[in-house]
Amino acid sequence: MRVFVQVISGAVLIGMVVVSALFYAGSVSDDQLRKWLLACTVLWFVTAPFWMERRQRAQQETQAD
Amino acid sequence: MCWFRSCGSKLVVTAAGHVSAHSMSDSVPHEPVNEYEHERVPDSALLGLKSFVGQYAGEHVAGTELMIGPLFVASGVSAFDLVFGLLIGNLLAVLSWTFMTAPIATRARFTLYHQLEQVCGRKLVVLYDAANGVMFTLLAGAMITVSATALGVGFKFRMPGLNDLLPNSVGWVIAVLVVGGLFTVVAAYGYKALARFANVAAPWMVVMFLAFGIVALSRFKTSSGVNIASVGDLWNLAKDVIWKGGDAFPGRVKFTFWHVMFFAWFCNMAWHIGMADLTVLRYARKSWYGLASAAGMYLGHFMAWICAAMLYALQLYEVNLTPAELKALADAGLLESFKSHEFLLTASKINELIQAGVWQGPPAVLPGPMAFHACGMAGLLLVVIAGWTTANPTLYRAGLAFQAIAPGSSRFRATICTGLVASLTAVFPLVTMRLLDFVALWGMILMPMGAIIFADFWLLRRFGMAPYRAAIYGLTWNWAAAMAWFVTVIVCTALVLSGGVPIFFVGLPGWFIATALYVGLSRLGRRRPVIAVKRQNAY
Repeated sequence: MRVFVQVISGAVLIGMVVVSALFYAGSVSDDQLRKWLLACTVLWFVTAPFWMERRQRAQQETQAD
Repeated sequence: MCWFRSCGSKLVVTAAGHVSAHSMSDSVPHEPVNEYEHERVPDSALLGLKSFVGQYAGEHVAGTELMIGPLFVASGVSAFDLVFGLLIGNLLAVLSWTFMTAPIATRARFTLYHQLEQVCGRKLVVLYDAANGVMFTLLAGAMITVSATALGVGFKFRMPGLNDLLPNSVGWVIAVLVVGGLFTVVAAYGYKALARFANVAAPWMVVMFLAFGIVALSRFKTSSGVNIASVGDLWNLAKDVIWKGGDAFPGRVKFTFWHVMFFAWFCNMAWHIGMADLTVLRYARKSWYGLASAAGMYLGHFMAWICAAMLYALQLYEVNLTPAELKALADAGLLESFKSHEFLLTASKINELIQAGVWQGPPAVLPGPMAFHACGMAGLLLVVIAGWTTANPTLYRAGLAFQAIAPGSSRFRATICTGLVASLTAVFPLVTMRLLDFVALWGMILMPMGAIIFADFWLLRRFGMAPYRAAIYGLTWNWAAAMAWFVTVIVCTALVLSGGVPIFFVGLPGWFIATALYVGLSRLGRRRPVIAVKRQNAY
């Protein structure tokens, strides 16, 4: 599950760059760019806390041991 | 700029204002976290290179980047001066972390404050704390200003211009006070939660800055009609359209290659040459981990600055005048010239507009509208989140600095008071619109203490004196250090005010002055140690 969420988070960041590049190439309109960037932003903040905070917790527990 | 946001790594700014090797995100089960504030960091707590790469990359992509990049454009910088000035200046900053800060950090393994206390004495450290606290407060104010510009997009109130010192609308004042109040309450009550959020936001912020750059470039390409088929075409667009150079905008200092280079090198002077990052790098296994700062420099102080600069240049290029402004332009006989798109990118043309009464001053640097224009709501969210996640630890640290001066006061009250003062300063756009000068001033004020630490650590033994003079002589106020600090700041200030030396340049001579003064004054004030000299560190 964690790996799955991580993959989504990574894909979201890559997606943001790809959408911007497509806008540069003229394949995506201004309106579509804004919607995609907002959607990617929401997805990032929904998915990233799951694995990023877990990773921090795991690191801390490793150190505590 | 570096403003203390960790980035999912094990290095985190902790409740004591120092950097801990543990995460604060889940502090409850394992508190209290040992921050090694008054002892050497043990070998078991040392961290690998990856932790520092994450730390620096997260810290240096912050809300301030949204102001600094555009202010370069307002300073009339050319493409060559900007790109190569940043490349070399950032390299010098990385080398400063690697060869000045890290070697002391990894040998002594003390926090900056512990090191200062050993060298300068407790009372002088309190003064340092006060200076730092004031600077942090003003910086937090600047961050509040940046975030408040996002509200202007929705509420359409009048926002400050580039050269404004005072607020120019009631809406602006209300927006700043609301944003500042919110930031303050969160910093006082929910610092840890927002610090966790900042960790999560950091990678997204880096990508958003990149998106700004790509989108702005695309708009430039479309507006100018330039076809970009090669790197040469891209460079031509950069130098002929985006950063044309020429005079600075009215009221600004002209930036050359040297200005950009020294600014990039010294904007974090308090952290590398000023030694504030002793606290971070004391956890490094090897001193060359200072090279990890390159992640922050080239993501934040190169990519993010350039992308933010492009947003402002785009605003200048695609400027939309109101019907009244167009009429004034036509009355002044400048309308045809304006339509040619050659018009608004140079200072002389802006001066013509001002003289014709079309504008009151140069176009404002307003991150909210700029980001919204480029990327819509996601851009606006970046402005708010970048400002907030940067202001949060800055307010917290300012509160801690003042709390250290009055140890009996509560951290909560100190943060609330600091936040209120920061909010009031944010109402006045002076610091934000003069952020380049403010950052240089910060470095100039705190840099001498780094030079003193450097001289104490490396040079005193060579001149037959013992290091850690305050500890050895039982001093609470090391006069040699105090005089070296004060005289350096006075000389540097005099050079700026009367000698015509730009503030961005004085850090370099200032460092040599502080070092020489500290060594010289320490030699003059030699006396018998009150405690036996012992090797307190591993060098």
